[in-house]
This record gives sequence, structure tokens and C-alpha cells, in this order.
Amino acid sequence: MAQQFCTFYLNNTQFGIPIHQVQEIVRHQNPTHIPLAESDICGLVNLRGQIITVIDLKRRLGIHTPITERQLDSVQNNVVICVSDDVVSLQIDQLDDILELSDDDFEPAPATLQATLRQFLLGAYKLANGFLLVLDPAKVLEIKP
Amino acid sequence: MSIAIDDEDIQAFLVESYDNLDHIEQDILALEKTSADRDVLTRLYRSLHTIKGNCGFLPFPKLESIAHAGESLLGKLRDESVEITPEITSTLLQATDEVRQLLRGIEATGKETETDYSTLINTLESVHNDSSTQPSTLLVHRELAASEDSEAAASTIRVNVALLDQLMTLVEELVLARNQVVSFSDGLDNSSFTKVCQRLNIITSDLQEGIMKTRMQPMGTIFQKFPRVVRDLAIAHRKQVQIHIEGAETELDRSLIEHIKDPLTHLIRNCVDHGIESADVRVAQGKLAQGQLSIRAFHEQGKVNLEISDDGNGINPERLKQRAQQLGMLSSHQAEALSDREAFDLMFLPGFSTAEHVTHLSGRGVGMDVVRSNLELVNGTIDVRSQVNVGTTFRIKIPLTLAIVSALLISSGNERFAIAQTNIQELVRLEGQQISQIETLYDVPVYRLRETLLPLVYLNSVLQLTDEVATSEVAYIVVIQADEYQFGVVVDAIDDVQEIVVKPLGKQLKELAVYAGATILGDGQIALILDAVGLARQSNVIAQFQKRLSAIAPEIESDALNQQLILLIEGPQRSRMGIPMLAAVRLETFLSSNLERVGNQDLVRYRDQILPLIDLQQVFGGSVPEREELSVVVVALSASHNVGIIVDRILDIVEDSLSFKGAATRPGVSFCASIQDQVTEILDIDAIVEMVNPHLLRRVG
Repeated sequence: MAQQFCTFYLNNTQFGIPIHQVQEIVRHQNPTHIPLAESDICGLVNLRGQIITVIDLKRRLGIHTPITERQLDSVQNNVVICVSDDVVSLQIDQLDDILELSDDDFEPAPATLQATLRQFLLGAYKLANGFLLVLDPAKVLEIKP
Repeated sequence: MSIAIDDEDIQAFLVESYDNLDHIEQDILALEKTSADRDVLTRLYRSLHTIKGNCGFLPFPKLESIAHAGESLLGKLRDESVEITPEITSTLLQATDEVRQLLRGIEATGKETETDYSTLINTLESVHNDSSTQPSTLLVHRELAASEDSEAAASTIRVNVALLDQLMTLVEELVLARNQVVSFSDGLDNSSFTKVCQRLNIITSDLQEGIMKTRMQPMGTIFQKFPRVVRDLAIAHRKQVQIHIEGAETELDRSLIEHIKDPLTHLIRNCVDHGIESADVRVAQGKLAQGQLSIRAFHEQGKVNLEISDDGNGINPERLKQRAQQLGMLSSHQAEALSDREAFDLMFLPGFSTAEHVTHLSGRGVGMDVVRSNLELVNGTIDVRSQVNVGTTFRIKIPLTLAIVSALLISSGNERFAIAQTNIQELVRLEGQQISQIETLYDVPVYRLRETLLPLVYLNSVLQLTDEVATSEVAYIVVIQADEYQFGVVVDAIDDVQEIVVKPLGKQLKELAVYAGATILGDGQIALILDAVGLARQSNVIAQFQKRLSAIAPEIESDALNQQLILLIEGPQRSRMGIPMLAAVRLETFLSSNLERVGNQDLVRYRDQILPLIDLQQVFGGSVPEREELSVVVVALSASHNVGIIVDRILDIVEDSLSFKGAATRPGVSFCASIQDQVTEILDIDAIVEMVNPHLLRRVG
């Protein structure tokens, strides 16, 4: 069995989301600021008449570093995911590709990763030039109590 | 069952069967009225037959056997070998209830429930067995086949609601795109492109209107349940009730229809339960034995109006007041001050019930308050008019749709927000000097709006938009009503009033109670919609203010109390005198010829009592002049005893706080005050009576 993943970079690390949970890739548009919202929520955008929330994925995953703030200018695409009718746009650093990966290469998330990041992961794939960390969209969108 | 049955088949079966059941129920009720109408019977038979037939394809044997038993009974009725009696209609209705329950079970679990229906089937069949002849269902079958074809071409189809909602969203988006294209074409000056734009413009508008209509549903979809409810209730209470339904075709947004179903049912139950009297009582009062219950729906002023009225015993406002006092909701003093209209409003208070007997359907003390709060959820209102022994009318007003609301657009800290107009009471603009009128009362900024203190919320600081203190020349206060409280929101600018489409916020933002949703403005930009109650909670203004206010309330109250009405009169030696209006009951004129004298006391017969009279000339030592007519101020000494004060002339009635006071100069005067820039003696009525005839006071005491 092989699965397809939509892959992108955060802090130069490659991440992937199972493609069946990706609704679409959209051009980045300036989100409308939401006062009082959590810091990892960028705002709202209008997606063909539907108002959706934009999440700063790095902040959500707890891997946000002040230095990478500058890269915001280069944001061009957002990944819109849909988990049980909850549609959310994820702000990423750089979109990469669609990869088809064999289940044989799948392993649990490396134990060396920080625990905060690990809780969002389904696992990892070995690639020729490194690892692909696979995110669990349901976990990413889980609302913290 | 070799063919695989998937959920979709069952879903389709359920939807169709529920629909059929609704028709069956109506037809049974119609049957009761018109007795054996062949058309109705045939229709009934067909509906039931469809359910039975569908069951044949699906693994629902119980349902099939109930349907079969019902079908046989109907066949009998159709043959006229069995007469239609109320018992039979009741049995049939009971069968529809059981079938409905079975369907619900199937909906929930995908399987038939374990319930045993043999009793019901027996009942259905026993009616059948009573007759002597065998049913000839064959004939009916043949006729059915013919008529089924004729109605096959249905003009409606079922559409998934989610699909409609999606279409609606897309059309809204199309409208925005259209707006952009049109404004683009204005700058291009290309005549053929302009033409295309105009067509696009018209088509889009028509499309939008059409899609809006698809969301509408006639009120009839909920009205059709009421005849059954009323019938069952009437039988349970041994009352006779006739129901009239008008305006079933009135359309309303389908999401709203769901919301008003329960409140309406509750009101109707109330009418039958408490409103309409039993037949003998009605006849004794000269009314028709059958109680009349009417439900009317119509459009008015862009709202849907619903009227539920009965011609029953009505509601006695005095009884409501008494009940409220029994329940400790009102003091007797408060109760007295209530108008009838306000008294009717009492019934919407939580925990209020006038029913002496609690029935299983209504009168449990929960109800009217839930009715009102349910209606308020959809921005609806309800009011009551009632006349004892004539009847009661409940009038409900609800907006056509919830999806579109009229909202005020405001801006604060360079961001735009919308506030639903229904929450807004008024707008206040403060300029220059006026801004300094905003005071701080125990850490809460307040503004004196007319006579009330309005706690203020600065949107900038509540939403943490900016850190700087606003130093603008103009400030706007949006006066908002949330729950029972009023507060003002200070914003930078008020932009516009617009009809906006309310869109929900995603799950990620659920905990932000400050927002009621978001909307897309004409230029494609998003604006958040502020929630009045959420905003009040967030700013904590009300809680704080309430706490503080209770401490200073007496101060404000006494200030208001001092403002009182004073009756100005001309007394002896043309002196100005005042009598507090609180004491004065009436102003009267008597002819001096009507005066009678007992001992030293002048008396006059006034209404059903003897009114002692005191002449101010006599009190303050003047000579009593000859008068033909006497101007008399009737003053209450106690609840049942009055005294008449004869004055020379009545000058005026003024409102004054009596703040400029001076000590009394002679007996019979409470104090002197400056009213209309003239010194006025305020009379002490008790002291005057004491001086002239202390016996009068003693008799009262």
C-alpha cells in the first residue's frame, strides 16, 4: 500500500498531511485580524463565500522561532484542510510537492523530537534525503481545553 | 434478503415514510369530519400501502404487519362494511403513532425495536372481525393502480439542505464577484463589455432571489401537526375544540420553522388546557359548545406574524398579580402599580404558572418563559391580549430569515465590526466638551444619558486593539441592550447600516463569546459581528457596575424622589401656597348652596361620603368671604377619609425638587420653598386639620 501526502516546509523541516484530508491549496491572502483570539490564530479569510480560520501552523505546533518571522513575507500558499466539517487554512513556510510513499517506509515519530511536536504527529517516512514528518490533522485542529 | 441494503436505501425509506405518515394522519382527521369520503379513504389506503410495500423490500416485518392490519381495516371502511366511529379513528391514529415510533427506532439503530405490537395489530383486526362480510380488497387494489399513475408526475423533488446552503454561499460570492466586475467595467469604457456586465448583473440578482426562495418553507409544514394535537388534547380534557388554520402557505426560512415549532405547540396546548372551557360551561355562558381555536399566519412589515387565539375564559390580570404575589415575585405595592399589559407579561417569568391542576401536558410551571426565550433566540417577540370570558390572543412576530440581519457597521482601532441592529437602542455622538462629561464612578466610566447612568465599554480596550488612549475630538456611544442591562460601547466611528449575511465562525474560535459570527462586506472584506451579551461579559462592565451601583443607589433615588408635583394655590391675602400633589386626590367645585353645617363643621355630600370642608381663610385668620362657588382641593387623610380644603384660586401644577427651603413662618405650614422664583408656603395638611378640627383626625386614626 502506498499513500499520497501533501508536503511543505516549516523551519526547513519537511512535513506532510495525508492528501485525502487536504481540501485545497490557496494563495495566501491577508487574513482579517481577530482581537482576543489565541496567538496561533492569524485571522479569517474568505474562501468563496465561506469564512474560514487561518492558523499559524508553526505556532500551533510549538516550533515557532522569532527568527523565522521574516519568512512571513515569502508566504505564498496556504494548505486548507478539512477535518469532520471543520475547514481551516494552515499557514506554512513553503509548499513542496505531492509525494506517494510506501507503507514500508513508515515508522513511528522519532523519539528524539520534542514532546509538544510529537503529539501532533502520526509518524514519519524515511526519504532518500531525510525524513518526512506526517501530521495528524485531527490533532492539529483539536481544541485545547 | 439477498440484495444488500445500504444506509441510503433506509434513509430514503424513512424520509418517504415520515411524509406518508403525515398525510395519513391528516386524512384520518379529515375522515373523522366528513365520515366515509371515498377519495380520502382511497388516499389513506394508498399511503399505507406504500409503507407496507416498501417494507417488503426491507427487513422490517413488524412495520409491515402493522401496515397490513391497518390496510385491512381501511379496506373494510372503504367497503362500507364497517362504519367509521371515533374509536376506529383513535385506533388508526394510535397505529400511526406506533409506526412513527418504529421508524424513529429504525432511524436511530437501523433495526426494528423489540417492542411487541401484537396488541395493536389485534385491535386493528378485531374491528375488522366485528363485521359479518369478508373484505374485498381486490377491488380497491385495482382502483389504486389506476389512480397511482395519474399522480406519478410529481412537481417537487427532494434536495439535501446542505446542498442548498452551499448554493446560497456560492450565490453570495457570485454577487461580490459581480460587483467587482461591474465596477471594473465602469472604468473600461467598452460598450459590449458593459452590455455583458448588465446581463450578468440581472441574472445574478434573479439567481440570488431564486436561491433565497428555496430556503423558504410554508408554515403549513408545522401547522399540519396541530389538528392532531388539538384533537388528542380535547379528548383528554373532555372538551370540544374546533381548530381553524389560516395562512398555512405563509413562507418562512426553514431554520426558523424548526425553532418556532415547540413554542407554538406549547401555546396551543395552553389554549386547549387553560383557555377553552368545557362544553357545559361554554353553553351556560351562551357560547358555542365547541371551543374555537384559530391559528393565523401572515406577512407584515417584513416579518412573519402568527396569531393563536381562543374564545375561552381569557386571562384575568388580577389573578396573574395575585399569583405573582403568592409566588413572592411581586410585593403588593408593586402589583398594584402594574398595568394590565404588564400583568400579562408576568406569565412569561420563569417558574410562573397559574394552573391549579397540573396536567401531564401543561401547567408544570415551566413553559411560557421557555416559549419566550425560544422565540427570543430567533429575534422573535410575543405579546398577549386577553379579555375575561371573551378569549386570549397570543401574537408572535418573527423575522423572515435569520441568515440576513440588519447591522450597524462601526470601526474601532482601524478595524471594522458589525453589531446587530436588534441589540442597539440608540446612538450618541459626543463632541469636544461633551466628551469630558464621561465620568468615572468607582473605576467604571459612565455617561449620564438623560436620567440614567450608562456604564461604558471602550471597544478599543475590551478587544485590546490599541494601547493608546483615544484623544479624538468626537466619540460615539452605541447604546446596547443585553439581557436586561443597558450599556454603552464607545467606538471611533459609525460607518453604515447594512443588511449582512451572518456566517458562523469555525470551531477554532468557539470560545470567543465576544463574536456572534462574521460577515463578508460588499467589498469582499470580512467583518466580525459583535455579540452584545458576550461583549458585556468580556468587559465585565455590568457585573462591576451593578455591584457599585447598589452602594450608591439610595443617593440617586432620593434625588429623584425630591422631584415632586406641587399644586399651587392662592390662599388668604393673595399668598402663594403649595400642596404636594401626592396628597391631593381631586380638584372639585361645589356650589355654596350645597353646603351643610353640623356644629361648627361645614360639610358637603360628595360621591358616597360626607366631606368635611376647611376654609384656608379661616385657618390663617382671614375673614371668610361670601362665595357662590367653592374651589376645593380634596385631600386624603387616609385610605377612606378625605377632607376638602377650600382655596381662593388654583394657580398651577409645577414639578420642583423643593431644594430651596426655608423654615415655616406660621403654624399649618411645613416649610417655605422657592417655586418659580417666588416664595411659596407648602402646607402641612395634617397640622391644618389638627388646628381646625382635631376630631377629624382622631376619627380617622
